[in-house]
Amino acid sequence: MKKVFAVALGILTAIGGFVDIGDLVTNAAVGARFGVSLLWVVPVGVLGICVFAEMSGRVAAVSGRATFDLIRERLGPRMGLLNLLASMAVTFLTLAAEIGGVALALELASSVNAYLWIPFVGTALWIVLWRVKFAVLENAFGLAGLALIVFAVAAWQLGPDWGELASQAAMPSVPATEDVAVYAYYAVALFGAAMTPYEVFFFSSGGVEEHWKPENLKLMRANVFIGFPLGGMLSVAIAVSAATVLLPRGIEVATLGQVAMPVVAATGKIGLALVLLGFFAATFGAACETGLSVGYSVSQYFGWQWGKFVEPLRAARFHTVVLLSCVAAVGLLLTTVDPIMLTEYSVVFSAVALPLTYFPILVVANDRTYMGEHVNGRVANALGVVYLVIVLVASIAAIPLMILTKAGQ
Amino acid sequence: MDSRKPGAELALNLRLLDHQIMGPEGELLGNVDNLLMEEVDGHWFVASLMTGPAAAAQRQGGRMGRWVEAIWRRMHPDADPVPVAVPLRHVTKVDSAVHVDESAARALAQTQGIELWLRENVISRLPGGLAGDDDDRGPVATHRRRHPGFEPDPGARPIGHLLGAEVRDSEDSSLGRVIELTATTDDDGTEALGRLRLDALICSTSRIGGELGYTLTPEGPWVVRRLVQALHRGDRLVHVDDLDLHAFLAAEKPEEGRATTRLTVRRNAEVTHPYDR
Repeated sequence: MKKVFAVALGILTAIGGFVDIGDLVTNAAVGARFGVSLLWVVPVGVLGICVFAEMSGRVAAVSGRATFDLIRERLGPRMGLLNLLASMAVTFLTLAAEIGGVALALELASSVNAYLWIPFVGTALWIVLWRVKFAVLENAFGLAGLALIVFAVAAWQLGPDWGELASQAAMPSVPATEDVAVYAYYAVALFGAAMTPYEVFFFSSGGVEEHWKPENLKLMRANVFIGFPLGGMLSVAIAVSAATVLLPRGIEVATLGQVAMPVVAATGKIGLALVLLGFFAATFGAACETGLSVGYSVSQYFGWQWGKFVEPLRAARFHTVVLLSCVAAVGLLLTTVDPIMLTEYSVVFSAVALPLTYFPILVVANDRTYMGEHVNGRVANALGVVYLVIVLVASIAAIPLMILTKAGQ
Repeated sequence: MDSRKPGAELALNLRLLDHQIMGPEGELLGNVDNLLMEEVDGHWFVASLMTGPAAAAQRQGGRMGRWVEAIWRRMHPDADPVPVAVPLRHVTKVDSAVHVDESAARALAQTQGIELWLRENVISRLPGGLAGDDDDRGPVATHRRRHPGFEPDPGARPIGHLLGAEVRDSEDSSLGRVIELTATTDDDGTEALGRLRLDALICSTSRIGGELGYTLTPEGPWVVRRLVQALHRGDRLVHVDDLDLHAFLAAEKPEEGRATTRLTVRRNAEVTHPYDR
C-alpha cells in the first residue's frame, strides 16, 4: 500500500509540476495564433524531456552525480565554465519569469498591481527555499498544480469539433495568414517550453537530494514516462482551449489573464478559482525549482557542498547563491520588464542552451565504468541520438529565427 | 571501477581531474582542480590532489588564472598563503567521486576560506541556519586552521603543465597537444589506492572532445562514437620512458600554469593510436 501511494504521489506531482509559466504562456499564445496546427511540437518536446530526464535521473541514481558534476567532468573546466554561464543565464531568466508569473497570478486574484507583489513573492520564495524540506516543497506545489486540470475540463466543456481539430493537428500546415519563419519560430519556442534545461538540473539533483539508488529506477521511470506525458496533456489542453476561444475572436495572448479566459468562459467562477490556484502553484513551484537549480549548478561546477539534505550551515555557499539569485531576479523584474515577454525570451533561450547539457548526459549515460549494467540500451541510444539532432537543429535555428521574425511579431 | 587492482589503468584527466572530492560521511569537499606529480627513482608518480581557487587558477593559466590567483592571495588571511594538497595516501577509493579519509576531509573542510567566511558572517546569522534534515553528523567546521600535512611538496610539479603541452616527434613534426595521461596502480600493499605511476601520455591534434571518455576506448551511441573517432584518428600514445619529462618539467615555471616548452619524443620510440595499445 505504501508503495502504491509512493508511485501515485510521484506521478501526480510529476503531472502537476510539469507545467510552468513557459508552458502556460507559450501554449496559450500558440493556440490563440496558430490553432492546433503547431500542436505536434508538444509530444515531440514531451518525449524529449522524458528521454533526457530518464537518462539524467538514471545517472544520478547509479553514480550519485548530478548534471553539472558531469558537465565539468566531460567538457573540462573552460568549456564547463562557459556552459555554466550560458545555462545559468537561461535558468536565471526563467526564475525571474516564474516570480513574475506568481505576481501576475496574485494580481489576477487581488487586483493589486503585480509590481507590488514582486518583492513579496521574492521574499516568500527565499523563505520557502531556506526553510521548507525538499520533499514537502516538491509534493505540495506539484499536487496544487493539479488544479490546472481545469484546462482539460474547459476544453471538454467548450465542445470544439474534435474530429476537425484532430485532423488539423494530424495534418499540420502553416496558416495562410502566417509566415513560415514565424511558424518555425513558435515551433522552437514551444519545444523550448517543453524541454527546459533547468528541469533536468532539478530532476537529477533532486534524485541526489532524495538519495536515489539503482533500486529506485523503476519508480523514477514511472514518474517520467507516465507523469510527464500526462503533464504534457495539460499543455495540449491549454492550447486547445485557446484555439477554441481566443483564435476565432482574434485575441493574441499578452497577459496571464488572457491565458485564463477560455477557462472562465467555459466553467465560470469555480473555474476561475481553480485556474488561479493552478497558476500560483505551477509558477511558485517552478520558481522553487529554478531558484534551487541555480544553486545546484554553480555548486556542482565548483564541487561545493550543496543541497537541502544537509543543514544550511554546511552548505553556506550554496544557500548564498540561492539567496543572491532570488534578490537579483526581483531586481530584474523591478526594472518593470514585462514578465510575459521575459517568459517568451526564456523559452527560446532554453532551446538555444539545451545541447550544452543534453550532450554530456548522453555521453555519460553510455559510460560503462560509471553505469555498469544500467548503461544506455539500444532504445535509449536510438532516441537519444534522434533527440541530439532535434535539439541541435532547434538550438542553431533559434537565434536566426528570432532576428528574422523580430521575436515572432 | 575497481581501482585497487594492481596494474589497473587509470586515465587521469577522465577519471580524476574535475571529479568531486567526498569525505567519509558523504560531505562534498571540492573538485579535483589539479594533480601534483613527483619523481621517485626515475619514475613519475601522482603525489597529491589539489583543490580550491589557487589550484584551479594555476591549471587555468593565462590572464584569467593570474587574476584569480591574485584575488585569492589578496583575500587570504595568511601572509604567504599555500594551496591545499591532499597526498594520495589519504584517497580511499575512486569511483564517480574521489573518496578521501577522515583527516583529509577535516583538513579540506577547515581550509575552504569562502565557505567558512560565509558560515560565520552570513548563514549562521540568518534565523534557522542551523536547522536541517540531518542530525547525525559531526560538528560543522567554522574556523580556519592550517594543516601542514596537506600542503604541496616543494619538489612536486602540477600536472596542468603536461596537459596541453605540445609534443613533437624526433623529426620535429607536431603530434598535437597532450589531452590525457594514463597511470597504472602500483600496489605496494600499504595504501588503499596504491601508488599511481605515470605510464603514457596521449596527444591529439583535435581540440574537441578530449575528455568525453572516448580517448582510450570506443564507447557510446554509434553516431557520436564515429564522430569522435574521426576527430581523434590522429591521436597518439607515447610512453613516458620515450620522453624526457624531467628536463621538460624542470624548464617549466609553476606560476605560468601552461606549458612554455615542447616535449620531444625519442628516436625509434613506438608511437601508436591509443586504441592499438
